[in-house]
Amino acid sequence: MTTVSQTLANLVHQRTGTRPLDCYQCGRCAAGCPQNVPGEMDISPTRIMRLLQGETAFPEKAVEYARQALTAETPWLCAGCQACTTRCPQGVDIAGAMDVLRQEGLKRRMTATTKRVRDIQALHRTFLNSALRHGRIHELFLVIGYKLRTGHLFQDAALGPAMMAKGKLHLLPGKSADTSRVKTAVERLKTP
Amino acid sequence: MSGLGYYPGCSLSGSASEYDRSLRAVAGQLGVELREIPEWVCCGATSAHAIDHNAALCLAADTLAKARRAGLTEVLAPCAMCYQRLAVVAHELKQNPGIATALDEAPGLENIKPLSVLAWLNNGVSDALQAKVTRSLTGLKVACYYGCLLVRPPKITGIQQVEAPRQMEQLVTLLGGQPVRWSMATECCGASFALSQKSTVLRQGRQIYDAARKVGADVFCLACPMCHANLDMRQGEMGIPAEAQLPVIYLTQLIGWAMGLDATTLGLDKHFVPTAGAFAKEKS
Repeated sequence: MTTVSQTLANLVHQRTGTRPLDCYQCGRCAAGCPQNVPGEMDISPTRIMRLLQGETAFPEKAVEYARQALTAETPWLCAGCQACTTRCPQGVDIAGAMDVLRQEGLKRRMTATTKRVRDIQALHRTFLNSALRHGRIHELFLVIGYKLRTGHLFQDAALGPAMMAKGKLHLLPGKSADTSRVKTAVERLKTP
Repeated sequence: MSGLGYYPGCSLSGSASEYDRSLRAVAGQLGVELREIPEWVCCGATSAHAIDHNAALCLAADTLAKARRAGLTEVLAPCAMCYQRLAVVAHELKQNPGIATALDEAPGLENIKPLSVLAWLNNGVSDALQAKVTRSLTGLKVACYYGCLLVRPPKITGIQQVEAPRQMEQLVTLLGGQPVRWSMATECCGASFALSQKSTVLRQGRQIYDAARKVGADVFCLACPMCHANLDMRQGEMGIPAEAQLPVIYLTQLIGWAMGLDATTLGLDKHFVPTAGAFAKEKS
């Protein structure tokens, strides 16, 4: 049973079959991470693993450790490139842990709230809504939906017409596909 | 049942249409019948697994189920992201039979095998391919750019030499081209941050470009629509003058060209960085 009292480290174990507690803080994930550079991630992936360990090791401070991990920008700035997961000598699925942190953060309404994190969340929401509604992504509608959500109306304004001239952006959506079965299944999996 | 399952995905139906066209043309030359999965749905890409675990599972599992219903056992997914999502979910299905149940599907969905374009070309058809080369790429220095999801994580992709894969180099060599040795072959391009966090894409793209340029590459060769968009459309924004920009060519376009197919059939005219110069060099 998933409750808010479930530790993040346990959720990561359930989802990925790997344990943040196995991390010995070597820093290999941080070293190879393209987003762990000045101006991007606020704390390193290695530090995220440490916070998840602290959450388990110090029950009296568990809430605070979880809050620090969930409200970091790091999970949202992770590009999902899988370099950390591939290279971890302890076999911890760090990229998979980032998925858990993003999903749990949204569920608990506890995420970073900087403009860029809100932009990234807006893109994911626009994309997933579109996929579930139409079955397929129409790129122009995706871009318009994202711009309307974020107010970035003029970002890349010159790129759209240039893409259209190359036949890379279509005005009208192509075929859509029925997603009623997918939506039913998602609801069923939500209630175990 | 003959024919290979084909999952073009959303990108190849839109901004990466030249990847779809060139792949179909190459398959035609090789005598491989591609059977598009009826009513396939979006794989969910980065966004689904970022924010909704169950949606990510069900979207990809639904497409695998539709492949099975069409009598297909292998599914070619040319887009690196689509391939990764299908492969991850095929792996998950082994552990979690509840996913198939939720979709009202019989067990065994995990037996539908997603194929990356590299697995297809290297293991299935490379002999036939070699026999079809009529226009050697002699002298063309190619930076083979894998990006992330064609190779990582090895648990999903099955690729052994994950830090220095050679599959694409082998194919380019087969075509007579000269693969360069370089440092950024499996670095991330920033992928979906193209829209939501552009600084990442411009920084990564510039580093990838500089590394290829440094070793004298004439072109990039790749097999992912996101890598293509990020490298082809934004070299100007990365501060690279037009005369120094490197063409970014899909693996299937390179193969099609070596098979003697024309530029329009392969969609080589659809790129932002002009591609004609690279091939002119090889002709002379």
